[in-house]
Amino acid sequence: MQNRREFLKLLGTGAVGALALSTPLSVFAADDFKQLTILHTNDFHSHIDPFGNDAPRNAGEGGMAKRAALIKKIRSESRHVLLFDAGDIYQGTPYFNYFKGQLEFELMTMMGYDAATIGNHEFDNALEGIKSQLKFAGFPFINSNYDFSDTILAGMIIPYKIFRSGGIKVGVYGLGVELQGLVDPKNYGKTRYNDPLKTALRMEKMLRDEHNTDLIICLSHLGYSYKDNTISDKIIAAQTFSTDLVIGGHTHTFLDKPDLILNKSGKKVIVNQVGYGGLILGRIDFYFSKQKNTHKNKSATIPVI
Amino acid sequence: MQTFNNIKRTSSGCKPAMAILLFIAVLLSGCHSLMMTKVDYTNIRLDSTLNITPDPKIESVILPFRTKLMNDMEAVLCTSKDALLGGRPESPLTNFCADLILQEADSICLKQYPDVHVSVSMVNRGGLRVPIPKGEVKVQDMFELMPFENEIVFLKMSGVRMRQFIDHMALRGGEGVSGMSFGIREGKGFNPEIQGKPLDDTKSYWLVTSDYIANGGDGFEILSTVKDRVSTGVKFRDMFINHLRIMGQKGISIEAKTDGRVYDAK
Repeated sequence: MQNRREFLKLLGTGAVGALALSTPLSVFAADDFKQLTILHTNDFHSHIDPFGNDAPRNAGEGGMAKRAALIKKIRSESRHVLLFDAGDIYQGTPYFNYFKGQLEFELMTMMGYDAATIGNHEFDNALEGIKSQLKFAGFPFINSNYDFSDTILAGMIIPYKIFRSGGIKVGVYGLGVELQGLVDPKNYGKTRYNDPLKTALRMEKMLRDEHNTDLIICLSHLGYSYKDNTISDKIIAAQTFSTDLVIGGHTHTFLDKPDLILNKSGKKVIVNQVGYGGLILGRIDFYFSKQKNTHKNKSATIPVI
Repeated sequence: MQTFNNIKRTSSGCKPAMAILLFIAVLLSGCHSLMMTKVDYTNIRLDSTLNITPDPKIESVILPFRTKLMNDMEAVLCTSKDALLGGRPESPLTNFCADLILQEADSICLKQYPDVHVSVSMVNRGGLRVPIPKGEVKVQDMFELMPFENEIVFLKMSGVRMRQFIDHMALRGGEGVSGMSFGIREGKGFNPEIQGKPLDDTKSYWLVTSDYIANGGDGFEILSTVKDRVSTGVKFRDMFINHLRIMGQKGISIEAKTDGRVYDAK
């Protein structure tokens, strides 16, 4: 509910683009528009099967076979799709206790996940429990603020990745939560935790300036927001300059709709998180137009604030 | 589907006076030929309102895993004479679990940690999520009893710290304990005994509990600063499953009762 209030507050200041697009789409030639669909999950916690029929909440909901069918349907309707997970794939049903993540990774690969970031529960079977299962994942794990260089995972987790989808260049980086006090030290070993905000600023600058990305996405397992000033998705969104979308996890936050937060450049950043257990698939469609800085294009946008 | 309009990737659309500056900036950075003009979003619930057939290919991959899991989950470990319900200050469930933990901890120490001599065990009432059912007890029941991946931890505590620890258990209305007894009087421990002898503030004692409690969970911060700590890596649930399986093989049924180890001392 706090989110709803925040959202309304933004709305009140006129920060949310509640007005209709001032220029009708028809003004542009078809080729001038590109659509990119981002699909995402977080904290699905080994919920391979739908929630049991006797579950106190969400009975019969979720399940990876249904999620796969939904993703397939969206792919048939939208040409350019990227699919991400924001961590805590592991732990939550006996599938994990028995098969150690193999099935989760294999199914995610079949579903065409483009990348995932690392949640704290990925450490539940120690670093070896990540390393041994990576062979089942046909997609990369992206994390930018854990330094694994003195561990057995050295070189296996990438700090960022550039995706090209339908001519749109997307830069993705990943942020993980502080491990100390959350994860048994023997499970993360010599993994070093670096400051998420500093890392985010470094990553987005590099992606923007060196790679000229059109869209920058942060896959975060920091958590949506906290009562104290613990680093969170909302803080990352507000304190960065070029990150467009924060796909969050960790706090199992069910957002009715994504949050909009003004960043350091005065632009709106989207923060989304879809609860846990694979109950919801997040979908965000970005529409781009060719930017030629012409007179025509100027009217397509409204200055923010 | 709902829409956010006009979320901008570049700062175009700004005041004309800034256009030239912007144009130069764009040239300098040599970037952004695309501008974000619109964003739609929808968080799609995978519930009964979503009319979609589960992907048969995914189903076929899951099936053998599910079958194996179901077979294992259905495996009967042993039987229980009664349903073991949990409660405070003590209960059949908390007593049975704490006794089992102390007994297993002894054998772990004998094998692996000869310098550790465990006198008392503690399992938090809140960590035992469901009763142990009457009749057949299955692997599934152990997953429901203990869904968390807690591990066995040994802590060496001074008598003074042990007293504070007992006070906190008393404040919480009692927890699952074995190898000790105490009364609860005005939210504090009363006449605490360890292995049948009054708690001695000058002695030290080894406690076995979960990593969750040892890390200060449920308000037990008093434990989180203990220096002498052994993390065994042995999972509670695995230990329980093995223990119950052996009970079943020996034809021993689960039995537990309350015996006044934690009591109201008003």
